[in-house]
Amino acid sequence: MVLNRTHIPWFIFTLLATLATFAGYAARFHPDWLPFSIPLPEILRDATTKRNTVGGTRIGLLYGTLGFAIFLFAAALGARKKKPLWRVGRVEFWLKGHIWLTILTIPLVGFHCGWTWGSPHTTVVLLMYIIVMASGFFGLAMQQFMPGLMKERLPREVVFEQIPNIRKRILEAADELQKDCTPPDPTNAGKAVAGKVSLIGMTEIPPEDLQSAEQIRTFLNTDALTYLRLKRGGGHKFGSQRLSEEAFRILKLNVTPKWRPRVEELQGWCDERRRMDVQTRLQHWLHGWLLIHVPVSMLLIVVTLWHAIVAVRLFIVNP
Amino acid sequence: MSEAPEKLSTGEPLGLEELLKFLPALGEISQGLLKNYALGAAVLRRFSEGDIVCEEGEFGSTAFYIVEGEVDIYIANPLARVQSERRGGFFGFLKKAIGLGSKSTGSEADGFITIDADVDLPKTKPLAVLGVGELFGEMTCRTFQPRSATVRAKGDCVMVEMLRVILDMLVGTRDVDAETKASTKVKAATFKGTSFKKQLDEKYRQRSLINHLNSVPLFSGLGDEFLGYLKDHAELISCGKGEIICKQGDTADAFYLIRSGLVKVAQAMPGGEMVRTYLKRGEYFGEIGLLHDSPRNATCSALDAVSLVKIAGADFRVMLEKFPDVRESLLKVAAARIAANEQRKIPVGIQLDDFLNQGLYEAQNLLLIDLDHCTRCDACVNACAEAHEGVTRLIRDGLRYDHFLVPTACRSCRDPLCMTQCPVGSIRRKESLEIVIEDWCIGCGKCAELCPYGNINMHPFEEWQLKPAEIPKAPAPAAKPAAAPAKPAAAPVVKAPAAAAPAQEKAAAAATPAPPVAVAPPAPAKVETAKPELAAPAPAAAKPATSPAAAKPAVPPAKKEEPPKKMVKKKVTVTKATTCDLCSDLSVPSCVYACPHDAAKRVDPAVFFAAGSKGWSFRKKTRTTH
Repeated sequence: MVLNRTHIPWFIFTLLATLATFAGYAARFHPDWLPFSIPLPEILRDATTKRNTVGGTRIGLLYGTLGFAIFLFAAALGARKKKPLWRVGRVEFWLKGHIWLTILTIPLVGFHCGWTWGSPHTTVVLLMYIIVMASGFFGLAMQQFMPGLMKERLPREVVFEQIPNIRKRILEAADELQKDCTPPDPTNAGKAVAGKVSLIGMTEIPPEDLQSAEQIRTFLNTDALTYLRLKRGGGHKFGSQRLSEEAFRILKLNVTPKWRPRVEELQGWCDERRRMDVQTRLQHWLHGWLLIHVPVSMLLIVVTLWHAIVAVRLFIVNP
Repeated sequence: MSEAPEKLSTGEPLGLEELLKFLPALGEISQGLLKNYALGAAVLRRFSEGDIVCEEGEFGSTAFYIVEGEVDIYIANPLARVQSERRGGFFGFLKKAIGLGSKSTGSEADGFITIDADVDLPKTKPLAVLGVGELFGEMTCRTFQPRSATVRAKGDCVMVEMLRVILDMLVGTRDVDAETKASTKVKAATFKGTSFKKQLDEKYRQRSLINHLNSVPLFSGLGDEFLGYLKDHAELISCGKGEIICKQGDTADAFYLIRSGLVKVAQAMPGGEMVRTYLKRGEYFGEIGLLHDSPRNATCSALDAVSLVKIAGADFRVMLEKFPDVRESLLKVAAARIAANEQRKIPVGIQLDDFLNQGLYEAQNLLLIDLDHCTRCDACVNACAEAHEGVTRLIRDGLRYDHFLVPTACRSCRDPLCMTQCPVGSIRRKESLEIVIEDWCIGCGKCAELCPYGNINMHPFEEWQLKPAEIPKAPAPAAKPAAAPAKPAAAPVVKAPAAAAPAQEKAAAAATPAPPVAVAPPAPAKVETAKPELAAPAPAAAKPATSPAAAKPAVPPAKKEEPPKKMVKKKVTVTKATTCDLCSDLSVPSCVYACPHDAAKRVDPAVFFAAGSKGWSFRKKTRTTH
């Protein structure tokens, strides 16, 4: 989601909430940090725990509970997306809430744990939290410029899920071109596609046609078909537009004008393939982070729940 | 274009004498012309009870005149549509539980379906009867549009099936445009028409006009007495394609009710004509000028062959004085039409390049995706699919305009070409912008063909229908000839496989409907009572055969003594057109509502783009429709 002016209210809310969180923490544990005293409600002014942890105090528990509630809300975004027709607020609103409230969890979680790693078990929870937040920030950063980049670099996009099909069709068309450039077997004369230059069906082939077809066939075998068959074409010279254009320019010079439309056709397929490679790469950058973000988030919820149960149990057994 | 007149190859050929016997009005045409054009252009067709004369959705080029007997005329395709599930989940369940589930938006229970005949079919039971002396299929014959309804012989009946040339001789030539001329082999000569037209009009006046007036909600409140008065005083007029019925700026002198055909309503604007709407049978125009004593505010012209009921201005004013309710209704409609016109002013400040090339100017409600915001997550497409039973009406692919993608989704054109050739008028625009496809769509695909932007799709879906129960196959005697399947009683529907028929035969069959085969019709009344919402005689529907074997002129009649067949509910696959309806019963279209990145917007492009690039800000909510 692009951060723009519509996020200003959310930003202000998060900032104020962060300040309030800090004020509560400072008033309870470090009144000397504040230039003036803040009167906390009686309920939040409980004694320090035996282990001297912040999370065990009432204000620490409050922060922890709020943080966990935000985790749950953030996780609910996935469910919200699965039910797009539920009239429970636009998905856009939910995503904004997801972004800014999870940012708010940084002070909440930080003050809950007193900015310390704590036990191994809380360290695991914190590490997961850091991974989730980092991947989320990375995704947010990607969303700031990647859509615009895709628009600039891809004058035409195809439906992402259709890319394998289109690649297959292109490869089939290139194979057909190869057949068209192969001198026909006299015992098995085929029929050329109407309107396309081909050796198929020709009984007497002029030498210049034979030579042009041979040039194209060689080009196909050595470069074009290899490129079109590659799973990732980035490493091939046709992956570079400049090198590809150069190669096709030379080929066009070596064939008769009659065969040039077929060369241009092939060039179009290679260009299309290159565009699809770029689209795939950018799409992976744009969405790849979700592969880490989503599963670790789910795990974080489970681990945090476990942390809460353990902490409450300890609190009850040994207050 | 062939110079030789087209001939009909099926049915009993009619010589001139026989033709004159059945259609005596042709006697008013000179013998020379008759010999040149009429021979072979009309045939006598005999149908037995239950035989299908023509089937909805199929293409044809002939009209039928009933000489003997009666026919049922009905819509066999079930009144149904691809449902839109908009309130799913817990809230949907809750609303359904307390009875607040969304009602079908498709059809008003008390409405009528207009078809290619002088009758309307009630939506609640889309069935009517035509008798001796009546004509049907005129629009198909003239404009080659698909058949609007299925016609089945009610008893033994005889009809004259005619090509356009005979129709023109009888009722007069109505000009065809160059495009139609180029696309048909029919040689169109010019004829003035005969007294047949008067007879037909008189029959319509006596038998159908009052029903027609009654079918228009506006006139339903008029008493029988006044309707009788209108019946006697209304003028029945016909217009050829392109003919101007009333011109913008002229004095308003009459009110028009459309009897058949399509009327284009357009307004002259700086830079050209802007089409406001298309009106079809049952709709009316010309009221604004009469109500306000002002000149015509639009030009109305016939889009194809149009028949009109013209009510003179004086009679109209009498009606308004006598029936204030009608006046109130008309004033409301007129105000709505004027307001709609006001909203469609020509945009200013738009760079006219791709805006015109991509037809964005035509759009009134355009889905745009901001490519600087869109993460290509397809949430919009998924939401659309979710809202329409898993069938998306939005494809995130299309042309770009500046930094926006214009995806494939209905844009509610100002000039909705998709609506111009629907044979049953099921695609239409309601009071708001959205184009809706009503339940009685017969799946002919004309609208999808006509949409210049590919925004209408034909979608097969399953529907429960009543079908004759399958009879367990008895072991056939070895000596039984192979032609046995042609026996009508056994199999309910026998279609010649399309792949088996040569292309030429297919073309011939399209031009000249072959007699139906293997029709085993249930009694309509029985089926209607069994499930009225299904088009009654659906099980009997069979497309005219296209195989050479089926091209025989006559079909043995179904055995009348046969015991009635047991009807069972079966799932059948029917095809209906689908298009974006803007999720009209929701405040925001689902695609827009589900976009997490604020990238999908529904806008009026004329307003949205008018202020230039600096103004293209999504912050200004007032400039987006959603």
